[in-house]
Amino acid sequence: MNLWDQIIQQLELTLQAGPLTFGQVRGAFCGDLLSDVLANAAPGDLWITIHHHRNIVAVASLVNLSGIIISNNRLPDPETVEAAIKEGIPLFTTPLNNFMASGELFKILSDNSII
Amino acid sequence: MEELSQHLLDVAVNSLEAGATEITININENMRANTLQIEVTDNGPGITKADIARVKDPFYTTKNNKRVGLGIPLFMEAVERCGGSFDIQAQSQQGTVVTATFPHNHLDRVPLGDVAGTLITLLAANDFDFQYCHRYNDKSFYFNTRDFRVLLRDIPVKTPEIMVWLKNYLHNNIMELRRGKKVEEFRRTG
Repeated sequence: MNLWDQIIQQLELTLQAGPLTFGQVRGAFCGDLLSDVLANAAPGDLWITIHHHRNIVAVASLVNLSGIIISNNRLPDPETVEAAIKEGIPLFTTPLNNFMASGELFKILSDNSII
Repeated sequence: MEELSQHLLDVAVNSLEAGATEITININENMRANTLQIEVTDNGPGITKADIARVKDPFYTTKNNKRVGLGIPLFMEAVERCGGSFDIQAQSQQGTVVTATFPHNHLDRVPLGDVAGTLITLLAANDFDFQYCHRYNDKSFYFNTRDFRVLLRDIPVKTPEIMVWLKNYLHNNIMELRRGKKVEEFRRTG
């Protein structure tokens, strides 16, 4: 099973928008303060956040993140989905909260020697 | 909180719980000055200087004083994390004014959110009148429940059909008002 499949399965992800092929996951970041994500996330990181408004796509696009996961069963705004399609950023939702999603993701990434 | 409208709801509920019967909400967005200001004025009993300090302090509150909670501290935090300004003042006769000013394009300023839904929620759960004035640069939208009640004559505002209509009316007008912004330029929403 490839990395994306593992992540999608373990984090119970639902794809809300995105390209046909996903970019490489080089790490992960969790945070809800957008300026902090902008300053401290690294390109290729998969980002877990509670926000569902369009600005998250702008941040992901600027930092060149590999994807966004919206936690705790929140749904993206229609304009967020629209922006994610336009920017080609994979956008997911998960029923897990920030902590649980991060924990699962940490396990997968460390098992795969990515972090 | 995820949307500024939730702070608005919180401040308005504070006012109503303190005995206000009329609330004036002014939202002022000025792109040239890069500000988004929310001002809530009520006709309640007002607030003492000592209470202003208390509502700003989340640790002062205890359960025996239900009026004061985390609402104001969270609102202040939302303002402070993007470098805005916050003020609570008692009016000279009666009533309180809460003013929050945000830098409009700051990344950590959460979106304004569903103001129409907030107003309808307030109206459905309380008996009070409100005035709503939303300015966006040189355009503005104004609504007040008193005139609306006159227009409805004998039909109560809380009739479900009226509430649904009003929600759409407010929503559409606010959307229309805010549409002129250059979102692409700022790469930010709300």
